[in-house]
Amino acid sequence: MSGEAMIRVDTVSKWFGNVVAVSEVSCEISQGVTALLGPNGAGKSTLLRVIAGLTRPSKGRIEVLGADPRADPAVRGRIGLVPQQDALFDALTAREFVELAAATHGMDDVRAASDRALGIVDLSSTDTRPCKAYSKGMRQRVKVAQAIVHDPEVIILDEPLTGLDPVQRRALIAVFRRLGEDGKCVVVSSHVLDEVARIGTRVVVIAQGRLAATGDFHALRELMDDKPMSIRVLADDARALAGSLLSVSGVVGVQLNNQNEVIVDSTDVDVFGRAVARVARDTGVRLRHVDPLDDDLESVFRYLVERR
Amino acid sequence: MKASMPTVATKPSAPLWLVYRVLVRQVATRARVAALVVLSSFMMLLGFIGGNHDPTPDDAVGLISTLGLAVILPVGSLIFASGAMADLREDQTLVYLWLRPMRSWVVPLAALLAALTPVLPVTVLAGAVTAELTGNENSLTQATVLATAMGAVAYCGVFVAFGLLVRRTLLWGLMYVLIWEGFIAGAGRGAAQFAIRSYTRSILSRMTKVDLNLADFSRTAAVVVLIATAAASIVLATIRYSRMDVD
Repeated sequence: MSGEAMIRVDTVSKWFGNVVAVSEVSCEISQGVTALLGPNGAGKSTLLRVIAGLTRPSKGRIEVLGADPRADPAVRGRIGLVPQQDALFDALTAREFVELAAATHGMDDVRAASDRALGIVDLSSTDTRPCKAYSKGMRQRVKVAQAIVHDPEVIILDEPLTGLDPVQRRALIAVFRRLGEDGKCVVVSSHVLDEVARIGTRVVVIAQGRLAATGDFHALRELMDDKPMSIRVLADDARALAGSLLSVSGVVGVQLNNQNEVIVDSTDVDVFGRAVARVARDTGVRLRHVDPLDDDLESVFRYLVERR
Repeated sequence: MKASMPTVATKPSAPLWLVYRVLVRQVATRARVAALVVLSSFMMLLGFIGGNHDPTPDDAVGLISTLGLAVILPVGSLIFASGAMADLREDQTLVYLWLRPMRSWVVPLAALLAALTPVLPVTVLAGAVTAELTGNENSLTQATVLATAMGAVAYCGVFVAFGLLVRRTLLWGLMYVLIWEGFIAGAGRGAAQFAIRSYTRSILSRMTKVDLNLADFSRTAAVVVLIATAAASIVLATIRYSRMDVD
């Protein structure tokens, strides 16, 4: 990760009885937005709880802003957390809830801070309804507002986009990016891959409690050099083309999907890219479309999880 | 956004007040307040009925002791005090307080004060009214007020701690009230020393000069023990709060 690490996770394990939730995870997270990616039950929430100091690691060490968040309440005050659970103080209005956060963080101008935080997540500070009357999406935004009201340096968001409609998602992702650009360390967990792809290119992948990979999207792809990439080729006679493509260096398999579509697995995409047009011409087949099938986060994730 | 740098609050009174206000609103639900008022009204009704039949001092003290101090006070305290912390744990809102840079005793103490806010006035008032309705001398009312107030502080302290120490707080609290205090502590002096009821009844007994079984602590000792029980419970709750895993 680039820049000075604001979060250091050093061989952290966390188990509950015989169940290992997080196993030997080490990573460093610096300013900007980092997506914590993994399927449900992978250990993301447990790792975030350890980072926030909500639970002590069974083994290993956590440092947030140079201190142990479990032992140092002052450091906890520099963290903003959006927990996964839907719970709020339901009897309070959004404004009261966010003001409580500001006040208990010792802020001077509680009302101004609350108005600003609610404005960032596009909620009205004059709404007199209690939180229990809010929709799921509004409750999520209240949680984000209380997490950022005290201008924390580290912001941890556990599945913050759950329950939001697409417009709200885009708006919140923009908020996360802006916070990252402002120098905050923003960690956003998600199991929804297209979300993560939009949140940021820097990802920490966790699977079955273990760190599967860390880095940006392209760095992850470098980890996958030994994995054949799938490329979809659309042509007017895919059957004829499929046989010829097997002779191309690096091609390890072809699959004819229909008369016009063939999926090629190749360990050397560059060679394949240069060869495919020549092979098509030699075979007398007209190419219509060539695109990689798995140049996205989902394929990276699937591969990394399966590799474990 | 620019903000003042958060630190551990040097003036805990401000966050204590803030957390107290939130917890009172969380705890004092209509259903709970209604339950407490109904229970208390029942005792006052019995006091009114008893008062019309020229009760002896023993009868009047017996009513306050067996219904007020043994049932309504502990059960009412349990309903509110267990909710003050246990509800936050169970509905997972505790995280919003735990993560704040506040001294760790602020939340347990605020929970105690929040529980006492409805319990203290309702139970003390109900006890005093019942004592007056029985038509006995003035010392019964004073004894009832003191015993109920001190008992409320002790019970609420203990049940706040229960809320952080055990799951199913209401069940454990009922077991303490009904089984420990109701049966085991009544079996002998040794066990009676570890029952709040023994001390509240002692206050009642000493001030009214009516003998009650296993209630022979001095008034001063009883008051000190009840306050110490609440204080120790909050210390225990604070230690637990600062070390607990939060969901």
